[in-house]
Amino acid sequence: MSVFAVIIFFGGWQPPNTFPERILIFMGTPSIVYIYDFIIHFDYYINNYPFVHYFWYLTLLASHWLNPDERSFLEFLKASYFYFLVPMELPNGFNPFVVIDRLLAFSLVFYYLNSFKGLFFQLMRTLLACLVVLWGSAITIMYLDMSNRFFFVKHIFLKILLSYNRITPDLIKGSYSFVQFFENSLSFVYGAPQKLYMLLNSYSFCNPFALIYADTIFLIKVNIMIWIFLLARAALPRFRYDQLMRLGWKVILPLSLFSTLLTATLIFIFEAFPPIR
Amino acid sequence: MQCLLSGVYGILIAGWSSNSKYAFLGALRSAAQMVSYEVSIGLILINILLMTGSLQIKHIVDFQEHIWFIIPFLHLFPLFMISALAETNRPPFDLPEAEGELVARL
Repeated sequence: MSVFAVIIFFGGWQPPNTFPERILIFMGTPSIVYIYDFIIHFDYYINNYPFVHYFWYLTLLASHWLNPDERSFLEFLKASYFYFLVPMELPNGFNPFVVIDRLLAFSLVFYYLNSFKGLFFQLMRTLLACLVVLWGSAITIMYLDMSNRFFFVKHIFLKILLSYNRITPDLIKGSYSFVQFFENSLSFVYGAPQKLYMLLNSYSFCNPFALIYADTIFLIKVNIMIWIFLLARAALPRFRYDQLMRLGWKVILPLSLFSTLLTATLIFIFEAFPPIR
Repeated sequence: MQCLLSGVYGILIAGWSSNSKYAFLGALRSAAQMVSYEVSIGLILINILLMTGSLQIKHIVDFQEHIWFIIPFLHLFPLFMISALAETNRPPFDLPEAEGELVARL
C-alpha cells in the first residue's frame, strides 16, 4: 500500500477506470489458463510428451471459454474443427524432428540419473545425446535426398506449422485478420510453458551440458517471470504517451532515486560496506 | 546498458528511413520512451552495485548465496519490471507497435 501511496503522491497517477472490473477478469483467468497449461505441458519436461500432446485443445477451450467474449468461443469452435480436420498427429509420429525431440526429452531422465552418478555416466549420456543428434541428422538427410526435393517443406515444415498453429495456418489468433480481440486478452497464455520447454529442449539440442541449468528452482523462477509478464499484459490497457512519460519521470525515477539514497545511507549507517574486490 | 542503448538507433533509423512523417514521429516518441526508462533502470541497478561493490555478474551471483536480492529490494522489483517492459517496448508500453490499434501497420 505504501508503494501505491508514494506513486500517487509523486505522480498523481490515476488508475484506469476499467481496472476494478478487469483485475478480476483479466488477472484471474490468465492465471487459471496458465496453471492449466503448465500442468498439461509439464509432461513436455517430464518426457511423456506424445501422450498428453493430444489434450492441447483443452487449453484452447479453457482460454476461449474463460474469455468473456462470444467471438472467442466461436474462434475456438473454428480452431478445434481445424485441429481435428487436419490429421497432423499421426504423420508427426514418423517425423524425424519430432522423434529427435522426444528422444532429447528422454535425455532429461539421464540428466537426473547422472546427478547422483559418476563421470562415466555423464560421458555415456553425452555420447548418447551426440548419437541421437547424428542419427536424426542422418535420417533427415536421407529424407531430404528422397526423390521429391520439396519433401521437407511439404511433409514436415507444413505439419509443424499446422500442429503448432503458427503463421500461416494460425486461425486461432489471426492477429492481422481479427484486429486482436483475442490476442490482447488471453491468447498469449496458450502454449507459453510449452514454448519454455521447447526452449530448454533446444538448449539441450545445442549443448547437452546446458541441461544442468534446467533444475526445478530455475523452472519455477522462469515460470513466475513469464506469469508476471502475462498478467501485466492481460490486466493493463495500453498507456497513453503522456501517462507513460509521467509514470517514467515522476513516479519510477523519484522512487528509484530515493531507493538509491536509502541503500547508500543504510550501508553507511550499518557499515555494511561491500568487500573489496 | 550499452545493449539497451543500441536498440534506440534501430528504432530511429527505421522511423527515419520509412520516409513518412508519422513513422518518424513515432520513432522519436519510442526513442524518448526508451531513453527515459533507461535512467530508472540504471538507478535501480546502482542499488545492486552498491550492495555488491562489483560489476561482475559472478560476484553479484555469489553475493546472493544466503539471500536473494529480490527480498531486500522487493520495493524495487515492480519498478524494475515496469521499466523493463517500457524499455523493451512490450505491452502495455508498446506504443510504436500497437498492433491492436493500428492493425499492424508497422
